[in-house]
Amino acid sequence: METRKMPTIRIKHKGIFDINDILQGIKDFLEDDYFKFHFPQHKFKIPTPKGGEHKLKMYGERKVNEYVKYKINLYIRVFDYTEIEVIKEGKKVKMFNGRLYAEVSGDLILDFEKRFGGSAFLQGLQDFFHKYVIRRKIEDYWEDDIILKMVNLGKLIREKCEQEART
Amino acid sequence: MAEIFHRYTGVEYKEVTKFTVNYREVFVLKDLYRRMYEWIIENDYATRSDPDFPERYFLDKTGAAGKEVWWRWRCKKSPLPGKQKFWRFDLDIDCHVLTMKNVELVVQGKKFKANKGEVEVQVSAKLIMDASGEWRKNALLKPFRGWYFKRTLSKTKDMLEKELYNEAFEFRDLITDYLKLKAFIPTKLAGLEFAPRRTME
Repeated sequence: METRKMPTIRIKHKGIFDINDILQGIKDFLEDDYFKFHFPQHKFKIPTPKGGEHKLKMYGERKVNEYVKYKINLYIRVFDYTEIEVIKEGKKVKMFNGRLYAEVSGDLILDFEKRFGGSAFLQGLQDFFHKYVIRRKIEDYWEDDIILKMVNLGKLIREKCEQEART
Repeated sequence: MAEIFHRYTGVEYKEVTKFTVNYREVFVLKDLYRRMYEWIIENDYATRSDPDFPERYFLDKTGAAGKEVWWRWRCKKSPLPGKQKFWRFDLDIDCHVLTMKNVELVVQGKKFKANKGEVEVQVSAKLIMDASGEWRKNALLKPFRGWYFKRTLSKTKDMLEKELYNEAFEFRDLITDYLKLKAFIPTKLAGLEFAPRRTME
C-alpha cells in the first residue's frame, strides 16, 4: 500500500459564521461525491471569558476502483467564539462570532487492498508498476482529481464563511 | 585530548539566521505556545500527531520567584518536494520563561487569566546540505563532493537560504506580532491578523 499526501489547504476566518451550516455543507459535499463520511473526533472545552472552543476531525473515503482510494481529511478548530443571534433572511439564526481554522488535506491511497503487500519481490513489482505502467494515470488523473475535490471543499467552506472564494 | 561531538559534527551546514526575542510584561503563555505550535504545523515542520512533534525538552519548575519554564523544539523539514532528502531546514527553537506568575486582567469588563514574567525565544535556522549523508558515506562520491557542492548546487543553495531566512523571519514576526512588538512583514500579508494577541482583542 502506498499513500501519497496531497498539499494541505488552510482556511482562516475571523468573524461571524454558522458552524452547523458549515458541517452540514461538508457532509453533503462529501456524500454527494460518493464519499463515506466519518466523524471520529469532536472535542469541546468549557468556555472561558475569551469564548468556547471546538476541535473537530472528520474524513471522507471513496473507493475509485479496486486499486485506488481517495481520503479527504478535515481538521476544524473553532475558538474564542461567542454565540450571537443574527437576523438572516428575516429569520433569527444562532451563529458564532469567533475564529475558525480549517485544514483540508488529502491522501491518495494506492493498492489499498494490499495486493502487492508481502515479499520484497512484490514490492519491487509495485514500484515498477507505479513508476512505469500507471505513472501518468496517477499523476495526471487521480492526483489532480483529488486536489480538485479538496479545492472545491475549501471553496465551499470559504463560501459558508462568506469569504471571497479564491480558486 | 577529548573531542566533543555534536549533532552537526561532519555535516555541512550553514546558519542562515539566529535571533532572540525577549519580553517582560503581561502575556498569556498558553496562547503564545499555541501560536508557535500552529505555525510549526502550518509550515510542515511537524504533523498534528503529538508523539511525532519535535519537542525534545520541557521543564516546568516552581520556585520562590515564580515559575520557570523551558521548552526546546528541534524542527526539521525537507524543503524540496518529492523524495529528495539532500537539503534540510533545521529550526531550533529554545524558549525560556522566567519568574512567571499568574495574574488576572480585566479587559472590556471581563476577567481574564494571564501570566506576568519574562519570556525569551531563541531561534536558530540552519540549512543542511547532504542531509541523508549520501555523498559523505559513499567512497566513490566523496572526492567530488566539494566540487559538486560549489559548482552545481550554489544557485539552489542561495534560493533555499533565502527561503529559510524568510521563513525564520515570518516566525519571528509571529512572536513579535503576538507580543505587540515591531513586526516587519505586513500583518495582512503574513496572515497574522487572524490570531489573537496578548491584549486579547
